[in-house]
Amino acid sequence: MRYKKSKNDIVNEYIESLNEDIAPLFLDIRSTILAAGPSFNESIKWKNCLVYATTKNHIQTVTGKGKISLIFFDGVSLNDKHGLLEGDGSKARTMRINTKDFNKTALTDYVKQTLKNDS
Amino acid sequence: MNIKFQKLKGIPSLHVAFFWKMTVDARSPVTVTDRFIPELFFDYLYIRDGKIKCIDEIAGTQFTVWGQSLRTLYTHPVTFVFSTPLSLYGARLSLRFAESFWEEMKVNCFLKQEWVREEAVSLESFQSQIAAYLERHRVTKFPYPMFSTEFEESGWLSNFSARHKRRLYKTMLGLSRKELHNIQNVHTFLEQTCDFASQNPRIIQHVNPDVFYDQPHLNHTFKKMTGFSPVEYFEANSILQDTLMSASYNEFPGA
Repeated sequence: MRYKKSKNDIVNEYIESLNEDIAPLFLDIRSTILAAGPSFNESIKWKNCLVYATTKNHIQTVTGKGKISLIFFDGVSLNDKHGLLEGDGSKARTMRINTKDFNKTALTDYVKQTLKNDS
Repeated sequence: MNIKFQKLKGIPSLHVAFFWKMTVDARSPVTVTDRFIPELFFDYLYIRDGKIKCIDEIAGTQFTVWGQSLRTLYTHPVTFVFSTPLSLYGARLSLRFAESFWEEMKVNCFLKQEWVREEAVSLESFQSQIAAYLERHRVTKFPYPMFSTEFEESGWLSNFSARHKRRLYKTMLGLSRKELHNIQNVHTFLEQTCDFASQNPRIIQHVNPDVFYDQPHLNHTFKKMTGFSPVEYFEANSILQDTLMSASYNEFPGA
Protein backbone atom coordinates (compact mmCIF):
# COMPACT_ATOMS: atom_id res chain seq x y z
CA MET A 1 0.00 0.00 0.00
CA ARG A 2 1.45 3.38 -0.99
CA TYR A 3 0.66 6.39 1.14
CA LYS A 4 2.35 9.28 2.87
CA LYS A 5 3.66 7.88 6.13
CA SER A 6 2.46 9.47 9.30
CA LYS A 7 4.84 10.78 11.94
CA ASN A 8 2.96 8.56 14.33
CA ASP A 9 3.95 4.86 14.08
CA ILE A 10 0.61 3.78 15.54
CA VAL A 11 -1.19 5.50 12.66
CA ASN A 12 0.98 3.68 10.12
CA GLU A 13 0.25 0.36 11.85
CA TYR A 14 -3.45 1.17 11.74
CA ILE A 15 -3.37 2.00 8.03
CA GLU A 16 -1.46 -1.19 7.24
CA SER A 17 -4.12 -3.18 9.08
CA LEU A 18 -7.06 -1.75 7.11
CA ASN A 19 -9.06 -4.07 4.87
CA GLU A 20 -8.24 -3.80 1.20
CA ASP A 21 -11.83 -2.92 0.34
CA ILE A 22 -11.85 0.21 2.50
CA ALA A 23 -8.18 1.25 2.47
CA PRO A 24 -8.18 3.18 -0.86
CA LEU A 25 -11.16 5.27 0.22
CA PHE A 26 -9.64 5.81 3.65
CA LEU A 27 -6.35 7.01 2.15
CA ASP A 28 -8.12 9.28 -0.29
CA ILE A 29 -10.05 10.92 2.55
CA ARG A 30 -6.91 11.17 4.67
CA SER A 31 -4.92 12.89 1.93
CA THR A 32 -7.78 15.35 1.32
CA ILE A 33 -7.98 16.21 5.01
CA LEU A 34 -4.22 16.61 5.41
CA ALA A 35 -3.98 18.72 2.27
CA ALA A 36 -6.64 21.07 3.64
CA GLY A 37 -5.30 20.95 7.19
CA PRO A 38 -1.55 20.35 7.17
CA SER A 39 -1.32 21.46 10.80
CA PHE A 40 -3.35 18.49 11.99
CA ASN A 41 -1.66 15.86 14.11
CA GLU A 42 -2.93 12.35 13.54
CA SER A 43 -3.37 9.81 16.29
CA ILE A 44 -5.28 6.65 16.93
CA LYS A 45 -7.66 6.77 19.84
CA TRP A 46 -9.71 4.16 21.58
CA LYS A 47 -8.18 1.36 19.56
CA ASN A 48 -9.62 2.04 16.12
CA CYS A 49 -10.41 5.67 15.44
CA LEU A 50 -8.09 7.94 13.54
CA VAL A 51 -8.41 11.41 15.02
CA TYR A 52 -7.18 14.66 13.54
CA ALA A 53 -6.34 17.12 16.27
CA THR A 54 -4.58 20.36 17.05
CA THR A 55 -4.66 21.21 20.72
CA LYS A 56 -8.06 19.53 20.80
CA ASN A 57 -9.77 16.78 18.87
CA HIS A 58 -11.46 17.94 15.67
CA ILE A 59 -12.31 15.07 13.36
CA GLN A 60 -12.76 11.41 14.15
CA THR A 61 -12.73 8.79 11.42
CA VAL A 62 -14.82 5.69 11.91
CA THR A 63 -14.54 2.96 9.31
CA GLY A 64 -17.45 0.67 8.59
CA LYS A 65 -18.33 -1.82 5.89
CA GLY A 66 -17.82 0.05 2.64
CA LYS A 67 -18.22 3.47 4.26
CA ILE A 68 -16.33 5.93 6.36
CA SER A 69 -17.87 8.40 8.78
CA LEU A 70 -16.12 11.62 9.63
CA ILE A 71 -17.31 13.05 12.90
CA PHE A 72 -16.66 16.76 13.29
CA PHE A 73 -16.68 17.24 17.03
CA ASP A 74 -17.66 20.88 16.71
CA GLY A 75 -19.63 20.37 13.51
CA VAL A 76 -22.46 22.58 14.67
CA SER A 77 -20.22 25.62 14.17
CA LEU A 78 -19.62 24.81 10.48
CA ASN A 79 -21.46 26.61 7.72
CA ASP A 80 -22.87 23.63 5.82
CA LYS A 81 -23.49 25.10 2.40
CA HIS A 82 -22.91 21.68 0.80
CA GLY A 83 -25.62 20.03 2.88
CA LEU A 84 -23.57 16.91 3.62
CA LEU A 85 -23.41 17.07 7.39
CA GLU A 86 -25.83 14.89 9.30
CA GLY A 87 -26.92 15.00 12.89
CA ASP A 88 -29.05 16.98 15.27
CA GLY A 89 -26.92 16.82 18.40
CA SER A 90 -25.75 19.83 20.31
CA LYS A 91 -22.19 19.74 18.91
CA ALA A 92 -21.10 16.90 16.62
CA ARG A 93 -21.96 16.50 12.95
CA THR A 94 -21.13 13.58 10.67
CA MET A 95 -20.16 13.37 7.03
CA ARG A 96 -20.67 9.89 5.61
CA ILE A 97 -18.62 8.80 2.64
CA ASN A 98 -19.09 5.58 0.72
CA THR A 99 -17.65 6.27 -2.71
CA LYS A 100 -14.32 7.33 -4.17
CA ASP A 101 -16.20 10.10 -5.99
CA PHE A 102 -17.03 11.88 -2.77
CA ASN A 103 -17.26 15.66 -2.65
CA LYS A 104 -13.66 16.68 -1.97
CA THR A 105 -14.49 20.36 -2.28
CA ALA A 106 -16.98 20.03 0.55
CA LEU A 107 -14.60 18.08 2.75
CA THR A 108 -11.82 20.58 2.12
CA ASP A 109 -14.20 23.40 3.02
CA TYR A 110 -15.30 21.71 6.26
CA VAL A 111 -11.68 21.08 7.27
CA LYS A 112 -10.63 24.66 6.56
CA GLN A 113 -13.60 26.01 8.48
CA THR A 114 -12.75 23.72 11.39
CA LEU A 115 -9.21 25.05 11.56
CA LYS A 116 -10.36 28.64 11.12
CA ASN A 117 -12.76 28.27 14.03
CA ASP A 118 -9.95 26.75 16.10
CA SER A 119 -7.58 29.69 15.66
CA MET B 1 3.14 22.01 16.86
CA ASN B 2 4.89 18.98 15.46
CA ILE B 3 4.35 15.67 17.23
CA LYS B 4 6.21 12.49 16.36
CA PHE B 5 5.58 9.12 17.94
CA GLN B 6 7.73 6.03 17.38
CA LYS B 7 7.18 2.55 18.70
CA LEU B 8 9.28 -0.59 19.04
CA LYS B 9 8.11 -4.09 19.90
CA GLY B 10 8.34 -5.03 23.54
CA ILE B 11 10.02 -7.95 25.26
CA PRO B 12 7.35 -10.28 26.70
CA SER B 13 9.80 -12.20 28.91
CA LEU B 14 10.62 -8.92 30.70
CA HIS B 15 6.95 -7.85 30.72
CA VAL B 16 7.63 -4.87 28.47
CA ALA B 17 4.63 -4.37 26.20
CA PHE B 18 6.41 -1.92 23.92
CA PHE B 19 8.97 0.86 23.83
CA TRP B 20 8.13 4.30 22.53
CA LYS B 21 9.50 7.74 21.90
CA MET B 22 7.56 10.96 21.58
CA THR B 23 8.93 14.29 20.46
CA VAL B 24 6.97 17.52 20.51
CA ASP B 25 8.35 20.61 18.79
CA ALA B 26 6.86 24.00 18.20
CA ARG B 27 8.12 27.17 16.54
CA SER B 28 8.19 28.87 19.91
CA PRO B 29 8.22 27.17 23.31
CA VAL B 30 4.73 26.17 24.42
CA THR B 31 3.22 24.14 27.20
CA VAL B 32 0.95 21.22 26.39
CA THR B 33 -1.51 19.77 28.84
CA ASP B 34 -2.28 16.07 28.83
CA ARG B 35 -4.82 14.34 31.01
CA PHE B 36 -3.80 10.91 32.29
CA ILE B 37 -6.40 8.44 33.48
CA PRO B 38 -5.75 5.21 35.40
CA GLU B 39 -4.55 2.24 33.36
CA LEU B 40 -3.46 -1.28 34.16
CA PHE B 41 0.09 -0.61 33.00
CA PHE B 42 3.23 0.81 34.49
CA ASP B 43 5.24 3.32 32.49
CA TYR B 44 8.95 3.87 32.67
CA LEU B 45 9.65 7.45 31.62
CA TYR B 46 12.96 8.89 30.49
CA ILE B 47 12.86 12.61 29.77
CA ARG B 48 15.75 13.39 27.48
CA ASP B 49 14.82 17.00 26.70
CA GLY B 50 12.16 19.22 28.21
CA LYS B 51 10.24 19.05 31.44
CA ILE B 52 7.06 17.45 32.67
CA LYS B 53 5.06 18.80 35.54
CA CYS B 54 2.52 16.53 37.14
CA ILE B 55 -0.55 18.04 38.78
CA ASP B 56 -2.43 15.70 41.06
CA GLU B 57 -5.60 17.53 42.04
CA ILE B 58 -6.96 14.67 44.11
CA ALA B 59 -3.83 14.50 46.26
CA GLY B 60 -3.47 18.29 46.11
CA THR B 61 0.13 18.11 44.91
CA GLN B 62 2.15 19.21 41.91
CA PHE B 63 5.73 18.33 41.16
CA THR B 64 8.28 18.11 38.38
CA VAL B 65 8.63 14.53 37.18
CA TRP B 66 12.13 13.09 37.67
CA GLY B 67 14.34 12.70 34.64
CA GLN B 68 13.81 8.95 34.96
CA SER B 69 10.95 7.44 36.88
CA LEU B 70 8.51 4.59 37.06
CA ARG B 71 4.88 5.66 36.99
CA THR B 72 3.03 3.24 39.22
CA LEU B 73 -0.66 2.40 38.98
CA TYR B 74 -2.99 5.32 39.58
CA THR B 75 -6.54 5.21 40.88
CA HIS B 76 -7.40 8.76 39.84
CA PRO B 77 -6.56 11.12 36.98
CA VAL B 78 -3.55 13.41 36.91
CA THR B 79 -2.59 16.20 34.55
CA PHE B 80 0.76 16.37 32.79
CA VAL B 81 2.09 19.70 31.59
CA PHE B 82 4.81 19.28 28.96
CA SER B 83 7.14 22.06 27.95
CA THR B 84 8.53 22.02 24.43
CA PRO B 85 10.81 21.03 22.88
CA LEU B 86 10.17 17.66 24.47
CA SER B 87 11.93 14.38 23.83
CA LEU B 88 10.45 11.62 25.91
CA TYR B 89 11.19 7.90 25.89
CA GLY B 90 9.08 5.27 27.56
CA ALA B 91 8.62 1.60 28.22
CA ARG B 92 5.12 0.36 28.87
CA LEU B 93 5.14 -2.48 31.38
CA SER B 94 2.38 -4.97 31.97
CA LEU B 95 0.87 -5.80 35.37
CA ARG B 96 3.12 -8.84 35.61
CA PHE B 97 6.11 -6.54 35.85
CA ALA B 98 5.12 -5.97 39.49
CA GLU B 99 5.88 -9.62 40.19
CA SER B 100 9.50 -9.10 39.19
CA PHE B 101 10.03 -5.58 40.54
CA TRP B 102 12.88 -5.49 43.05
CA GLU B 103 11.58 -2.61 45.17
CA GLU B 104 8.43 -2.12 47.19
CA MET B 105 5.59 -1.29 44.77
CA LYS B 106 3.64 1.82 45.71
CA VAL B 107 0.56 3.33 44.17
CA ASN B 108 -0.35 6.78 42.81
CA CYS B 109 3.24 7.96 42.49
CA PHE B 110 6.37 8.20 40.40
CA LEU B 111 9.31 6.23 41.74
CA LYS B 112 12.68 7.76 40.99
CA GLN B 113 14.79 5.29 39.02
CA GLU B 114 17.92 5.22 36.87
CA TRP B 115 17.64 2.39 34.42
CA VAL B 116 19.25 4.32 31.58
CA ARG B 117 22.91 4.94 32.39
CA GLU B 118 24.16 6.36 29.11
CA GLU B 119 22.28 9.03 27.22
CA ALA B 120 19.82 7.36 24.87
CA VAL B 121 20.45 8.65 21.37
CA SER B 122 17.79 6.49 19.74
CA LEU B 123 14.85 4.32 20.64
CA GLU B 124 16.98 1.23 19.99
CA SER B 125 19.62 2.42 22.46
CA PHE B 126 16.90 3.12 25.04
CA GLN B 127 15.43 -0.34 24.44
CA SER B 128 18.74 -2.14 24.88
CA GLN B 129 19.60 -0.27 28.08
CA ILE B 130 16.19 -0.92 29.63
CA ALA B 131 16.31 -4.58 28.68
CA ALA B 132 19.79 -5.01 30.14
CA TYR B 133 18.80 -3.29 33.38
CA LEU B 134 15.63 -5.32 33.81
CA GLU B 135 17.51 -8.53 33.08
CA ARG B 136 20.06 -7.75 35.79
CA HIS B 137 17.67 -6.60 38.50
CA ARG B 138 14.43 -8.54 38.19
CA VAL B 139 13.46 -10.91 40.95
CA THR B 140 10.97 -13.74 41.13
CA LYS B 141 8.43 -13.11 43.85
CA PHE B 142 6.13 -16.01 42.97
CA PRO B 143 6.74 -19.32 41.25
CA TYR B 144 3.67 -18.76 39.06
CA PRO B 145 2.01 -15.63 37.66
CA MET B 146 -0.86 -14.03 39.58
CA PHE B 147 -2.95 -13.48 36.46
CA SER B 148 -3.61 -15.18 33.20
CA THR B 149 -3.29 -13.12 30.04
CA GLU B 150 -7.05 -12.44 30.22
CA PHE B 151 -6.62 -10.89 33.66
CA GLU B 152 -8.12 -13.93 35.36
CA GLU B 153 -6.71 -14.81 38.74
CA SER B 154 -4.43 -17.82 38.53
CA GLY B 155 -5.60 -21.11 39.96
CA TRP B 156 -2.85 -21.35 42.56
CA LEU B 157 -4.45 -18.45 44.44
CA SER B 158 -7.72 -20.31 44.91
CA ASN B 159 -6.64 -21.77 48.24
CA PHE B 160 -5.71 -18.41 49.68
CA SER B 161 -8.10 -16.84 52.15
CA ALA B 162 -9.81 -13.57 51.19
CA ARG B 163 -7.69 -11.71 53.74
CA HIS B 164 -4.48 -13.27 52.50
CA LYS B 165 -5.37 -12.34 48.93
CA ARG B 166 -6.14 -8.77 49.89
CA ARG B 167 -2.72 -8.45 51.48
CA LEU B 168 -1.11 -10.07 48.48
CA TYR B 169 -2.70 -7.62 46.05
CA LYS B 170 -1.80 -4.64 48.21
CA THR B 171 1.81 -5.78 48.55
CA MET B 172 2.23 -6.68 44.92
CA LEU B 173 0.35 -3.92 43.12
CA GLY B 174 -0.66 -1.44 45.79
CA LEU B 175 -4.31 -1.84 44.79
CA SER B 176 -7.17 -4.13 45.71
CA ARG B 177 -8.68 -6.48 43.16
CA LYS B 178 -11.83 -4.38 43.15
CA GLU B 179 -9.85 -1.26 42.28
CA LEU B 180 -8.10 -3.13 39.48
CA HIS B 181 -11.46 -4.26 38.13
CA ASN B 182 -12.84 -0.73 38.24
CA ILE B 183 -9.96 0.43 36.06
CA GLN B 184 -10.39 -2.49 33.72
CA ASN B 185 -14.13 -1.85 33.39
CA VAL B 186 -13.61 1.73 32.25
CA HIS B 187 -11.14 0.55 29.62
CA THR B 188 -13.50 -2.15 28.46
CA PHE B 189 -15.86 0.69 27.62
CA LEU B 190 -13.17 2.89 26.03
CA GLU B 191 -11.82 0.04 23.95
CA GLN B 192 -14.94 -0.02 21.84
CA THR B 193 -15.03 1.93 18.62
CA CYS B 194 -17.64 4.38 19.68
CA ASP B 195 -19.44 5.96 16.77
CA PHE B 196 -21.20 8.87 18.43
CA ALA B 197 -22.25 9.89 15.03
CA SER B 198 -25.40 11.17 13.50
CA GLN B 199 -27.51 12.27 16.40
CA ASN B 200 -26.94 12.85 20.06
CA PRO B 201 -24.25 10.56 21.41
CA ARG B 202 -25.89 7.29 22.35
CA ILE B 203 -23.65 6.17 25.16
CA ILE B 204 -26.23 3.66 26.30
CA GLN B 205 -25.64 1.57 23.17
CA HIS B 206 -22.03 1.09 24.24
CA VAL B 207 -22.69 0.14 27.85
CA ASN B 208 -21.84 -3.50 28.42
CA PRO B 209 -24.42 -4.91 30.85
CA ASP B 210 -21.90 -7.47 32.09
CA VAL B 211 -19.71 -4.64 33.33
CA PHE B 212 -22.06 -1.77 34.20
CA TYR B 213 -25.64 -2.07 35.47
CA ASP B 214 -26.80 0.95 33.49
CA GLN B 215 -25.57 4.26 32.10
CA PRO B 216 -25.59 6.12 35.47
CA HIS B 217 -23.37 3.35 36.84
CA LEU B 218 -20.97 3.85 33.94
CA ASN B 219 -21.10 7.64 34.28
CA HIS B 220 -20.37 7.51 38.00
CA THR B 221 -17.42 5.13 37.67
CA PHE B 222 -16.13 6.94 34.62
CA LYS B 223 -16.23 10.36 36.24
CA LYS B 224 -14.51 9.10 39.35
CA MET B 225 -11.77 7.50 37.29
CA THR B 226 -11.20 10.17 34.64
CA GLY B 227 -12.69 13.39 35.98
CA PHE B 228 -14.83 13.59 32.81
CA SER B 229 -18.19 12.37 31.67
CA PRO B 230 -17.86 9.89 28.75
CA VAL B 231 -18.83 12.51 26.15
CA GLU B 232 -16.48 15.12 27.60
CA TYR B 233 -13.73 12.54 27.57
CA PHE B 234 -14.19 11.68 23.89
CA GLU B 235 -13.95 15.34 22.95
CA ALA B 236 -10.87 16.08 25.03
CA ASN B 237 -7.50 15.77 23.40
CA SER B 238 -4.67 13.89 25.03
CA ILE B 239 -1.51 13.68 23.00
CA LEU B 240 0.38 10.98 24.79
CA GLN B 241 -2.07 8.87 26.67
CA ASP B 242 -4.53 8.30 23.84
CA THR B 243 -1.68 7.01 21.71
CA LEU B 244 -0.35 4.77 24.47
CA MET B 245 -3.82 3.45 25.20
CA SER B 246 -4.59 2.61 21.62
CA ALA B 247 -1.22 0.89 21.24
CA SER B 248 -1.90 -1.08 24.42
CA TYR B 249 -5.38 -2.10 23.31
CA ASN B 250 -3.92 -3.41 20.08
CA GLU B 251 -0.99 -5.17 21.78
CA PHE B 252 -3.21 -6.73 24.43
CA PRO B 253 -6.76 -7.00 23.09
CA GLY B 254 -9.11 -7.16 26.04
CA ALA B 255 -6.41 -6.18 28.53
